[in-house]
Amino acid sequence: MPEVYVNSLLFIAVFVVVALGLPIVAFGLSRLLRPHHFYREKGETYESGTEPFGTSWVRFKVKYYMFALLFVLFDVETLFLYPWAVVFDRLGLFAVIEMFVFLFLLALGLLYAWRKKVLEWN
Amino acid sequence: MNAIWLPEVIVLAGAIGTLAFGLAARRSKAMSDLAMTLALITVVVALLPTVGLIGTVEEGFAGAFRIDGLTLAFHLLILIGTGLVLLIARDGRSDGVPPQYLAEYAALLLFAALGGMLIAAAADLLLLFLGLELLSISSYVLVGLKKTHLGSTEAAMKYVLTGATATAVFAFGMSYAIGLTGTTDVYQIGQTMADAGFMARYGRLLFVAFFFLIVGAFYKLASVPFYMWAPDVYQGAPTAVTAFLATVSKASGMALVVRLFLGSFAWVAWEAQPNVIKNFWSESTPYIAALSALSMIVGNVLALKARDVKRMFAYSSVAHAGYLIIPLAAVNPMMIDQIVFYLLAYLLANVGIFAVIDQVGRDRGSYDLSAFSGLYHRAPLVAWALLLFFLSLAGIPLTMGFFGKLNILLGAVWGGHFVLAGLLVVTSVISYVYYFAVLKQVFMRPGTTERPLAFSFGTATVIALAVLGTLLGSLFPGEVMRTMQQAFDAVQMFGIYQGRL
Amino acid sequence: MTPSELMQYLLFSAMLFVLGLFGALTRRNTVIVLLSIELMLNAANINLVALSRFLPGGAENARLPHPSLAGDFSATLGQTVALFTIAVAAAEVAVGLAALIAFYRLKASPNVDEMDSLKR
Repeated sequence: MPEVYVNSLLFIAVFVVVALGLPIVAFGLSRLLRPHHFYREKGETYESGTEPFGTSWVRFKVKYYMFALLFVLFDVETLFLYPWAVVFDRLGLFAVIEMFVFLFLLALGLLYAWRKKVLEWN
Repeated sequence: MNAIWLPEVIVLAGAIGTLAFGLAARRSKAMSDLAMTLALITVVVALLPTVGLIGTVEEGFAGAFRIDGLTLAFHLLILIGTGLVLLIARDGRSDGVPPQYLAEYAALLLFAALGGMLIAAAADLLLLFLGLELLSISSYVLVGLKKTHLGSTEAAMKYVLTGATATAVFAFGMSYAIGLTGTTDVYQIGQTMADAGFMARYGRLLFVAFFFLIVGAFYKLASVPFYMWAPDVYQGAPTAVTAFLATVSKASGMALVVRLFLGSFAWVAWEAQPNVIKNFWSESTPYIAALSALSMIVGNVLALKARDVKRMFAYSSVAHAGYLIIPLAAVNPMMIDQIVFYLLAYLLANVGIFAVIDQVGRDRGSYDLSAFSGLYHRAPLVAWALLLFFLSLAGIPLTMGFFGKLNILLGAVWGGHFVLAGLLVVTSVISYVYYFAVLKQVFMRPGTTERPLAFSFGTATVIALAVLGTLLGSLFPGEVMRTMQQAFDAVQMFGIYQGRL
Repeated sequence: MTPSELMQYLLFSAMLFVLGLFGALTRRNTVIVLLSIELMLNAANINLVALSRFLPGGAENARLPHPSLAGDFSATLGQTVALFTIAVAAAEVAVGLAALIAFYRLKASPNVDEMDSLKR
């Protein structure tokens, strides 16, 4: 069905035009409408008065890696919970028990991390 | 209805229990030792139901989990191998692994063994994949357990990077196989492919899938397309882990290849042109034969110039992977028995040798060939045991390894692969050179010290058991082979194709 | 979707896979190598999801030239397998980064070509 194909391409083209147009129009309009009154403090990153220092390219502490790892634990947990949540009423009790076995094993992982003092800073 | 999942569940419970035990017993050395013992007990306990299941053919979990002769044979290989490795690890605790990680060490070995067992028991591509990953990821951590040792962490890094690439290759092949056939069941994939017209339509993509799957699986075997990781990883890892990689991990890889290749792909036939029937097996044989030949040649030749013993055994294991692949190219009625028998001979000899390497290496602080000089004067009994292991590995007549190689050789000749048979003989002769280089150090070179080398209880037990097994296999090869054939009937794996389980 | 679109998905995933493989084999920085491996695994996911749309029972299967392949499979099979691949990829990268941190502490370099202490 070539015409369907062309239509879907047309849709993408329209989408691109709109997506590009929106920010251009928005920024352009605001540039035209806003008053032009500049003073030094306006150019600072934070207008709250806090002086920024250093560059924005700072290294993150390796310690954060542990939290990232724990995040992965729960991230993967939700990964399997979502499809399970969709169908568990049709699969019956067995699926519920299976999922709780899975959750139990993951909880053991968390318990392990906790006992290994991963959750403590320092 | 048997509890076919019992061995796996025992190992899983043991692994978690060992971890928990390690948590409870932080920083207490005696308790950490107990964690290792706990893991050892787990393996022994898991052996009981495995032996009890012999002769069972049964499927569980909607056909994803399958117990048959192939499964049980590999379960026994993996459990025995893991038990012996645990014995080495238990006494080799000063091998650079920080003592506070002993419980993790034991638990990870159990998790890796569980992965291997799942591979052996899986009749489902997804479960195969997960088992492979459990084995791989545990192995990555095991290799890098010596956290403050540059070689160990470097080896772990290389293992992760190459292993993850191989996993991705395997997953990509898997995606085609599952996506096109619409099932994850290994046997159903084969049956769907055998449907009339299926191969004509999707044949090319399925060949791609087959290629990627085999390449990903051969990585675990450390055969030629993917062997480069082996030398570095074997050298850098703690010695017990090296023994694990060389034996259990390789056996699991073999289980994966056999189930995947013979279970789903090998027998699929299609009509390529009118009246020209082709099948996967005959189409892929030349490539598999080439990989086998290259593995034998590359492994044995590169081993010649290795000075580090662990590195030498990495190359040697590449060569042995080549021998093990021969039956896959030369398909014959006895192929699985040949593979299992050879794996058993290889496992016993290798674990014994690594037990000695571990003890000697820790005593001398070096794994160089020269560390073995004068070993005969320091520990004569162990030197004789070492001689037996080396003869078996090299395939000197009337040892277990010889009968293993003979079986493979006969299979290759039966299948008409005379080149492979010839290469098997020639490369075995090449392997004598570097095996005897070690033996020369042990028996003929004077050592820097004559001080008797004491072997710890675990290491000595491993060596004794390996000697016992190798002797049994050497003296009664026919009986061992027959018992194996009866207990682990390999044909059971094809039951599905004959309308049975 | 039409069958030619399935072909586009397969081509796209093949390209992604080759790109990832190229990156995994050529890049120096370990983190980028790990990212490349993610690309390869995601190529497998795209394959799985695209093909599962065309499985018997899948939303687009009826538009294939040969609609029924065999049996009655679940249309969500490919997507389910993809979830497992994602989980495996996460675990693998977690271990990879841990190994990298251990390596970096000793060598202060994330580069693959500086892992050369093991020789002979």
